[in-house]
Amino acid sequence: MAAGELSARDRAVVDRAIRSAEQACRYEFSLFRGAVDRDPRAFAVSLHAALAAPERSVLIMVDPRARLLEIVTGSEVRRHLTDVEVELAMLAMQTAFAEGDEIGGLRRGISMLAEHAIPHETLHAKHHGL
Amino acid sequence: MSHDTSPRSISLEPTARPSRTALLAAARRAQRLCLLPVVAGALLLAAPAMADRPQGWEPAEEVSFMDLHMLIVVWPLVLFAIITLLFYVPVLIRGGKFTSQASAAVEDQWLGGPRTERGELAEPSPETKQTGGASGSW
Repeated sequence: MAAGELSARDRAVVDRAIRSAEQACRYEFSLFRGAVDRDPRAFAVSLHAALAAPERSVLIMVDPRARLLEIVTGSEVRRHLTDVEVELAMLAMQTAFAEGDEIGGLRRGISMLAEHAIPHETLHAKHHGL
Repeated sequence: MSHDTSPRSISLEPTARPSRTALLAAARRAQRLCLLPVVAGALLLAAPAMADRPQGWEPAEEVSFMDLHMLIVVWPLVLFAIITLLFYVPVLIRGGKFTSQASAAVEDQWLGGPRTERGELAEPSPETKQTGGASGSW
């Protein structure tokens, strides 16, 4: 996994993945890629708080140099996307990252997060009294 | 128009033309024979370099082992050190770091997020602290 900047082509691929994820689940997805110089979780949460609508947002933070990965979900997203489901997506990303496929891992992870975050419509069965 | 469909006969008898191997062997032999005159010629041509010192010239000064050592080892090392310092000192003064490409500093990149600088990051509010997610490394 290269520690340098993402190329324009890679950015376009991740942008497309984010766009399709947002269309699928109607939540906002953001990726921050950079060096983490403090507590990773606290830093990721502060990045997430800086988003336009944090409650409806999913933040993925990657530090390729320190090999750190953080996923933060907003309070509203959490209702549909559980932490266990986030861990599953993270596992897929970690596997791809370990193989040196950062872009593939991001695409897959974003797609998995979106799939799990799709709000399930509650089916209110009409009670037809007999 | 008739075509000769009979298989070509292969003769095992030696032909008049010399084979490629024989030609190569002859070339090698010629090369070996030429080597001696070439070396001898070179030595003869270089002989004037070993001639006696002309009479008008002053006798060469004796160079001590220490001077020779300084000239061949110490001064090149000093020169090397000076050039190295000239390269590294300005970078160190500017606060730069010497890192390999693999461990090069990672530029902050936002995709689908705000263009917030690190210094502009605010403390999360109590509402935003109710976040979920996961942490990991690889």
